[in-house]
Amino acid sequence: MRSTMSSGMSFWTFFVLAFSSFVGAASGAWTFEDAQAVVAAKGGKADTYKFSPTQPVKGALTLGPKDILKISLTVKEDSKVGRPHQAFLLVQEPESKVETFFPLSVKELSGKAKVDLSHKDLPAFLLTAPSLSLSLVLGSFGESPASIVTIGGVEPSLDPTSKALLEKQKQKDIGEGTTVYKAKDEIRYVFRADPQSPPKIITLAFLLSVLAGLGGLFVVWFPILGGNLSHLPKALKAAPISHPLFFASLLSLEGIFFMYYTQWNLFRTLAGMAVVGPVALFSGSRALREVRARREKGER
Amino acid sequence: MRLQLQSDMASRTAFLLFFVNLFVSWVSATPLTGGRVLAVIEEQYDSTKYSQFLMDLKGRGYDVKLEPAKKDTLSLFEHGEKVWDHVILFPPKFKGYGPALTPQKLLEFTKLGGNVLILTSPSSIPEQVRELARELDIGLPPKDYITVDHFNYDTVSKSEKHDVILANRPAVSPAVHNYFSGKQDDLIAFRGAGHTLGNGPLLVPLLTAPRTAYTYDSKEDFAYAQDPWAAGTQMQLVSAMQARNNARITLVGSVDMFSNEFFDMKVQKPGSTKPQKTANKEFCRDVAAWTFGEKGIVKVNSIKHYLSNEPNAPVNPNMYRIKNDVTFEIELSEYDIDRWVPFKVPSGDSLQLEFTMLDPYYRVPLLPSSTSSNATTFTTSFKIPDQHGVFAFRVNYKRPYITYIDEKYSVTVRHFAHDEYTRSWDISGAWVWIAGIAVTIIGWIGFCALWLWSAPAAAKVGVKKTQ
Repeated sequence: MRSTMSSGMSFWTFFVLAFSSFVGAASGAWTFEDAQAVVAAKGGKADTYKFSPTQPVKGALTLGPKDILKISLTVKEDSKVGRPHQAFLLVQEPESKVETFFPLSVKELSGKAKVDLSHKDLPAFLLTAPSLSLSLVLGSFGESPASIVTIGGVEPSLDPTSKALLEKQKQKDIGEGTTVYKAKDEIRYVFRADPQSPPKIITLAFLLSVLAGLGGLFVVWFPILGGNLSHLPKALKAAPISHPLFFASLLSLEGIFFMYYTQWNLFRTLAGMAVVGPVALFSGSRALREVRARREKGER
Repeated sequence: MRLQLQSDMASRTAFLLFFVNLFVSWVSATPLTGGRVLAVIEEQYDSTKYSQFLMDLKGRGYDVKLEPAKKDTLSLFEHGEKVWDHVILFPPKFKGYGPALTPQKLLEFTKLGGNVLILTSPSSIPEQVRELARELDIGLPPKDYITVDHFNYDTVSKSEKHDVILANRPAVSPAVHNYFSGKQDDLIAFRGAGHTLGNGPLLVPLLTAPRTAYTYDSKEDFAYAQDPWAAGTQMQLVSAMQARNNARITLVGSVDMFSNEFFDMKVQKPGSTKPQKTANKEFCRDVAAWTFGEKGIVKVNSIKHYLSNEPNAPVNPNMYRIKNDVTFEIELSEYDIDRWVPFKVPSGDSLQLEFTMLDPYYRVPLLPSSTSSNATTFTTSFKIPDQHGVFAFRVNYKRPYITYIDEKYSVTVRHFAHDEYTRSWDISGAWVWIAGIAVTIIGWIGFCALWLWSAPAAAKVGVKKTQ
């Protein structure tokens, strides 16, 4: 692949060679003269731009959808007219270096060469590019050095609807849908948001109100309603085993629930229940019988 | 116990076999993908023309057999198995190759893993090759079309026709392992016809035509190329197709490239000051080495995945939990002519791991973590998504010029077990409810104590009575 840089270089070597072979005269370099580029609009208005091997057209030519770019020149092998085997107009998209070629039609006797370029000649890929560079290649068999010269640039102008169509065509041309073996875009999984707790201050306020409820309950029970544990010695005297055992079994039932909540599994919990449950049942029935006895005695 | 004994025996046998293998491979030094090469070449005279290339192949351990195309007993298969590992097709003297080398047979051959190197010359591209090329989406020019370049031709051979093109090796690309972009100032002499390639991902160019080259009908009367067949860098001089089973078919537009004449030729570009030796010998060796699987073969040695944060985590478990931190490792080696070397990912490329269930949830780069003398380990870590189901670790590394890697390992991703959730006391929002339960319990205990042991308060009894 040769860039414009190297085409400039070969141009330079072409000069050197042209000079060195000047004496020989038999093999001049391929060059051209009387070159002009005409952008002809459909209406008949035509702008003419002159260019030469050393001076490309200044600025980019705008090529509208109905315009035709007509390039005409006289090909010369050194000083006399000739017809090279290769006379191509190269149209390149400078960024991707994608290039296509248009052979010039050359008259053998006069060396007059011309090529027409319009939108329908250009593939969609080039047509949708913002700018294109034009180069002229002249070369043939034999000793005469070939030349490649940048002659100017073209900016195709498109109306939006045809641009959209061409973009589609371009995607199709460059193989839309066909796999390209290359690294794909990275993907990182975005996790769902973690569940959120309400602000701690609100939680604490409600927590406090719940605890206050318990406090309130005890306040109502003991100072207001006069709850007391005065019958405890009496109860212990009447049923010394079942009362502590019943109360302890109630506490241990809660303890088992607490263990289940923190670390035990269900089976261990059930085993615990199986031990404590009957104790609570039997000691409870004794203890409550004692309570009933007190009531029947009129002490409650 | 008995089982262990058996496995012990088996491993010992494997060990022994390994050494026997090593010994055998050392003695015969057979290339990795097999050494049986069929060179379809017309006459003894022709084989002397390409003797350097063929001798070079033999020197690398290939058993090259020369056979004429029309030989009756010639066959690519025996009992449904291929009898050759590689085939080189030289252009035939006559119209075609004969019944043993139809495109169907050649494709069948590649399906069994055989590699094919097709050398063509503009004057004889047999219909079999055309048909094969059509199937591969390679566009071949009609008969007698030749490629010329008035800028990059050889001036030493004094050819007026400018048909010995001097092509440069492809430019070094940061994104691919291009085994053909060696020294950039190498000149490769080419006399033949270029071709065009379709858009498929399996096709790769090995040598591209210079910008100013073009292909035209050499039998055309016109004195100038009015309608060239193809031109410029869109035209390829040598290209290849690597099938999905990693078999390779290489198409060369010039058989002369491989000739002794071109190997030894000194060439000079117009405008350059002194002649230079062609790099054809090196380039053709590269082409043959790549086509016959001495280069660009990448293999997966091992794959490991495990929990990242646990030192004693089992390797390659069948199940993970959502939100586990997982590390994935893959060990890759690349074959280089005669040995396995560590595989390197080009700087502009990325070896990627996908974690997929229907669609990838992750596609993350695997980075080299350690390198041994013949393998590189690539590693990455990530957190498993919060989505349960059957996922797969997938490394789908398909790149031009190297064999395709597509590894897939399924694992089950389960949800949290009931005892793996955050405990309720760690959730501040639950404190109110926990307190509620605690209050109920304390209240209940207090109530029980009161019920059992409270003496009636005198004033309250009065209240009760009035009710």
